Amino acid sequence: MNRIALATLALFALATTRADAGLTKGRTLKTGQATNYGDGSDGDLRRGLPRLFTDLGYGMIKDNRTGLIWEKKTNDGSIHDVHALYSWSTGEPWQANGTAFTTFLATLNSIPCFAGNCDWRLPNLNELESIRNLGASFPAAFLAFNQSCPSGCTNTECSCTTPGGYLSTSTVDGTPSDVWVVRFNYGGCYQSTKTDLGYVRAVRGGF
Amino acid sequence: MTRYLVPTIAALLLIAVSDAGAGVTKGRPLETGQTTSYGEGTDGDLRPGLTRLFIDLNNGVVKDRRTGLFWEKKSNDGSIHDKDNVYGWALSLPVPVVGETFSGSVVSNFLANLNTPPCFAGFCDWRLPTFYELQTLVNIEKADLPAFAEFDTGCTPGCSVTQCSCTGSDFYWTSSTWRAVPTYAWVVYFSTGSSSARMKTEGGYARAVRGGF
Repeated sequence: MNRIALATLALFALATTRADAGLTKGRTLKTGQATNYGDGSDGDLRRGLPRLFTDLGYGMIKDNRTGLIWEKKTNDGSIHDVHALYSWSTGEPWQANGTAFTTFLATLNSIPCFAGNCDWRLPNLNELESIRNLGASFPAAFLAFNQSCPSGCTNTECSCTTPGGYLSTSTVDGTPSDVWVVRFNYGGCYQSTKTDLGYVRAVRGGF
Repeated sequence: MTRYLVPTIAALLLIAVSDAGAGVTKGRPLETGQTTSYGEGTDGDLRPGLTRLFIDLNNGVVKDRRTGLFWEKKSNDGSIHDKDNVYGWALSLPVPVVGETFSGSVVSNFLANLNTPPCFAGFCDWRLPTFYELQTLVNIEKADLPAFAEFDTGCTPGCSVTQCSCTGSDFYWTSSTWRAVPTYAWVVYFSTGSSSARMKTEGGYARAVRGGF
């Protein structure tokens, strides 16, 4: 009996430790920097989780580190076309009623929905920043998002990224007319007016 | 004895295996901090990402329980931790050559000081954060000083890292170089929350980090 109690206690202790370890699920990712600019610099230490993407087919890419499933962009004039520009808002009071929501997301989430999933959304600032690759520029994207993008190619044939500003869902605090935008030329972020046009990439999952 | 040993080992193995599987998804994005909603489907409405959890270790160090990183607190006391100290990323070479190598005063003065035995908080592996690591400290819900409370508390003149927590309202260096122009490094502005690249010989703030993955 004592042994059972002891074993249970040991398992309980183990479970508690694991719950504690479970807290650390937001580990930072590698930036992608591979060039070494000196001892202790990013390219020397290369801190962070290594990246791992899986092409799920049907125009979706899964990031196995963040758990997010991303829309692939195309060059075929479809709703997924990498060159299509959308607005975040039509103006005051700066709500999410621009074409990024009313055209782009509405189309993806209209039954039967893109890739059979009706819960596509736009990423927030942190989610969007998670797919930048500082080891590349024009575009600052990982290979999974930047593979041969010839004119006319569909999302089962290619994967495209425009080296421009992509809209996030995050509003600039204190300036409700502005939204956070991630620029995929080099990977920086900036603030843009919600009526300005920007590129979009849909995401799902991840909560 | 084996009666208990076998199921215990089996349970341990099961836990280890499930952990290895779950281990793939350990880089989940963090909450941005945005709580104001600007319509359905926006950040403040959905609030995707892991909730933030910081612990002040009371030795001048704050641990981020989500990322596993240990951060140096900044002070207002004129010490090596003072929020107003500025450092260069690279050495200024004879004009017009600007250095690309990580050898400025942020290395030779700031990090060297923290890592000289007995070292800051007893650890000698302090380093400069990568661009992605430093961006995890931005709280976009606070426009005036986009930092979390653990990095912006009671910053009165003379206070030390065990008494307060400060953030300078300007750009902080990261260890990441701007690939396109290697004489520039990525910086994060704790004035606006945005980021860009600055010439490595400029003077910028620095916050040390250790641990992580």
